[in-house]
Amino acid sequence: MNFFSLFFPIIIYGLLFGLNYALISIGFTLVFGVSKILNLSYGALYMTTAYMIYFFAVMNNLPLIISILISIVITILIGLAIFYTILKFTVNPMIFMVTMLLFALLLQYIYSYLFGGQVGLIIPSLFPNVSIGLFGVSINLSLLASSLISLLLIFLVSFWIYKTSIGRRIRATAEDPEVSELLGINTKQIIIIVLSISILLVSIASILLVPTQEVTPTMWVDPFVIAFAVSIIGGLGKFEWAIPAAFIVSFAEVISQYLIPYNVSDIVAFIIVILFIVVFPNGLGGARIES
Amino acid sequence: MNLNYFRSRSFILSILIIIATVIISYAINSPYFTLTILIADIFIIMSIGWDFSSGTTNYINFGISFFFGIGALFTGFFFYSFNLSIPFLIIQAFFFGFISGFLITIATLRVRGVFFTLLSLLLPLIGTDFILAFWTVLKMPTIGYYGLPSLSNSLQVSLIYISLFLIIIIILIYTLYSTHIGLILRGIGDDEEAMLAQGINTFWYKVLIFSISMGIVGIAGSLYALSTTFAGIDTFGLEFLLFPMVIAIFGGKGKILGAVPAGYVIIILSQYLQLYVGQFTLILFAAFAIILFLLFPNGISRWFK
Repeated sequence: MNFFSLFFPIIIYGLLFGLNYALISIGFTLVFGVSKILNLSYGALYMTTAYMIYFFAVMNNLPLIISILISIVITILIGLAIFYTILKFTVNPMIFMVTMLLFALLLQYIYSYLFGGQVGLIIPSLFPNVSIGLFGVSINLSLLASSLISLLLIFLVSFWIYKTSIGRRIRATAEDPEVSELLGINTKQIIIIVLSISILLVSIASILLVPTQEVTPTMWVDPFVIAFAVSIIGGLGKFEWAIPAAFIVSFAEVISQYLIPYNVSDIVAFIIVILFIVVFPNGLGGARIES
Repeated sequence: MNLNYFRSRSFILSILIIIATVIISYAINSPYFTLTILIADIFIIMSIGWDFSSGTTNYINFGISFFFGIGALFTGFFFYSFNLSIPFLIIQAFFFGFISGFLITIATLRVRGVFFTLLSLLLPLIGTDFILAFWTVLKMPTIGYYGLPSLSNSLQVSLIYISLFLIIIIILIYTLYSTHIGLILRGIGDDEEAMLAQGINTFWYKVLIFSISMGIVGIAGSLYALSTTFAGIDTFGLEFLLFPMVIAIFGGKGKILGAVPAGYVIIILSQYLQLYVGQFTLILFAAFAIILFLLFPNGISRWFK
């Protein structure tokens, strides 16, 4: 194995995974930007979409597209219900966070009880399960398609945030909610919109990525860790920095997969987060990482 | 040291409750009940360890199951690799819990509040991934160590040993709590800025307390492994975070001894519920924890006063 035989696989897989990681993470960081709340049930919502698709498309044989649409709506409703149930009782960020995590665990236990926790379930994919060759590297078509859709969605969200009137209001709310409210911006409405969009994004990520994995009650941990790692590295709430941060995580994981004999790719994201907190505590975007 | 703590009603009552559970378990003579009390004792040790650092300082540590897993897995590793006897297995669990707690708190205490909590949450996840990546290097027969020595062949004798451990840990924590260290800890929880303004270097106190707490949680992990004769990757599971935290909150955050009655009530309830509703217990438990956190974030002890 030499450097050149690894060059294309590392570049191609680093880019493809990076785009998917960016899609998973931008919703998480957007919500923090406007509400200053870390949505710890984020990974559980990713899992919810997957289980809903399994329920409608596999158990009840509904057409895949219909199943996907129903699953997205249910996931958004569950996400909003969790957020507003907690908000009704507390505004303490610590209690908010702990309860969000407890809701994630509650969903894990509910799905484990309803669908079984031992065997991974398979959900249908929108794309055929075939591989294509690119620069001598074999790539699953699902992964390639999900990466391209992620790229498109990242552009759309960027356009929405930076080039539309509502995007301007979102940025204003993220910058200073009190002043935004004084200027007539309905910040509560902005938070609902951003929260719904973030859940929509994580649902789409689930639809694109889960068919290449298995649906299990603990699957929520991985997307949560990725979103958290990318948000910390990019700087919490700094949407634009989430994208380079996603590539840092993806390239580090892919390089470790090729160069380290043990399967440490999952640990790499953690190590980068800890390194960033120790060496570069404000992240790439310069967000304050202290409360 | 303020000896009044040891004359307090809550201290005497807690010791009496622990002794009473052992006597009741002998009287009932049901292996399931004895096992339930034994598990409750282990969770109470964890809760007290957690509450001593997080409950008093308000630095909420979600990494408790990481240190529990460290205690359990190192017990397995040292038994398999060096055939250490049970007392040394328990001592090493405290040592490695303490050392890992020390190193991790030094790194993570750079951040406060929700970020400290989030970082601590990553620990059990790292632990799980680490074991999955290196289980062959750690000489694990499968992803875990089977056939560990048991504290005793008799479940009831094991319960006596674990109850004794619980009493010793309560006395040790109360001793620390009654010194100026305990006072500073409570001061950090009330107003850390004020403590800093008085020239107290809170950082090293926090590191010390978190290290001791995590050492205690490590002992709980070792006792769990020696009671079940198995130390597996499941010891990093979020259930081992959820139960002790809920017990501590239910008993009253920062109250230390509230965990004793709360632990018995919650574990006995959950173990017997499991007989009737099986896995649905976990759903009920998570729902109960959510209600508890939303309605009584500081515990229910003050409602009984």
